[in-house]
Amino acid sequence: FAGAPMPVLTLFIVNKAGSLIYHKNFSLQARKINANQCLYMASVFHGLYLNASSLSPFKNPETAPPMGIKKMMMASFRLECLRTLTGLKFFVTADPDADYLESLLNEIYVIYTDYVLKDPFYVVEMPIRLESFDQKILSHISEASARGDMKSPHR
Amino acid sequence: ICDWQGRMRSVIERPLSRGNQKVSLSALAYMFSELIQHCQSQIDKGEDLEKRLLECGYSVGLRVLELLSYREKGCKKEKGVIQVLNFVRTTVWKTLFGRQADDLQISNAKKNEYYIYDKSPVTCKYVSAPNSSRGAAYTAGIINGILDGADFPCEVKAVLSKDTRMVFVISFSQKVIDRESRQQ
Repeated sequence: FAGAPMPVLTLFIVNKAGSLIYHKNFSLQARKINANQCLYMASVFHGLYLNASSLSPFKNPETAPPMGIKKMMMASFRLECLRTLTGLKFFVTADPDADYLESLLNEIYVIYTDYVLKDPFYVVEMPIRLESFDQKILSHISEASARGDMKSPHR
Repeated sequence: ICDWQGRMRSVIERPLSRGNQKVSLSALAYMFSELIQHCQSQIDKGEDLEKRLLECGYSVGLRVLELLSYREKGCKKEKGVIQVLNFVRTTVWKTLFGRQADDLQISNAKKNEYYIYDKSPVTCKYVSAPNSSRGAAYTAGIINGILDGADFPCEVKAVLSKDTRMVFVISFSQKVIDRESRQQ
């Protein structure tokens, strides 16, 4: 299926401290960046996220998570981010017309809680090097795209 | 639950209730994950995590044998190796995991080795390779406890087979093999 067009480009997971713990390219169109640059870009995004929440005109009550970047629309792609109550950030880049990303991010969060948090040998907030998580994410995204749930008019 | 004199029967005279048969998979996964982490924090240099989990499963196995012999079999004792292994494969697996184990085979090479296959054991569902056979060490301990309790001393090991099935390798002691050959 590596040759099939995938509407989702890349998935990044950033921990509470702002360091990258997981990243995966799904599409051949995704730009190939080396590992160090990936780490750097993830921390830049984390910084931008914090900036956005401090620039926001609404002050959140202390208990709610800070509101930060949810969606970024660029000319050639779009980026959507999900911040969990525990401070983890899942963000995914995709086609500019992809509007199913919010539910996709929620499903990825569920897969994370299943295959990462229930693994007794995984230390929380550390880089994720788990084969079953990898496989499950890949199969979920390819199933969703095969089902036609992720339609992109440019393909 | 009152006897002919109208008194309430004491707790030990009431029938054993079956209880709620189903448990949430997430709850089990978290509890099991915590068990593994606890065992890992307790072992010192020489010891093995698998050995610890085997011991934990062993005590469960002894109790499971008692309970299921009473509930399912009416306290009948199994005499043959194949019968007791079938009991493990069907009744025990069904009670513990909700389905039967996939296969039971005897080894071609060694006369005292038997294999029980399971495509996806519940304890290993969320544990990634290469650690998945360590999750199955607990289930291997349960099998070990059941077989030892039923007077078939053996050693049980969990191995991941080439076609990604979990195999429980059961090696019976010489005493069991001699007894089998005398019976036949």
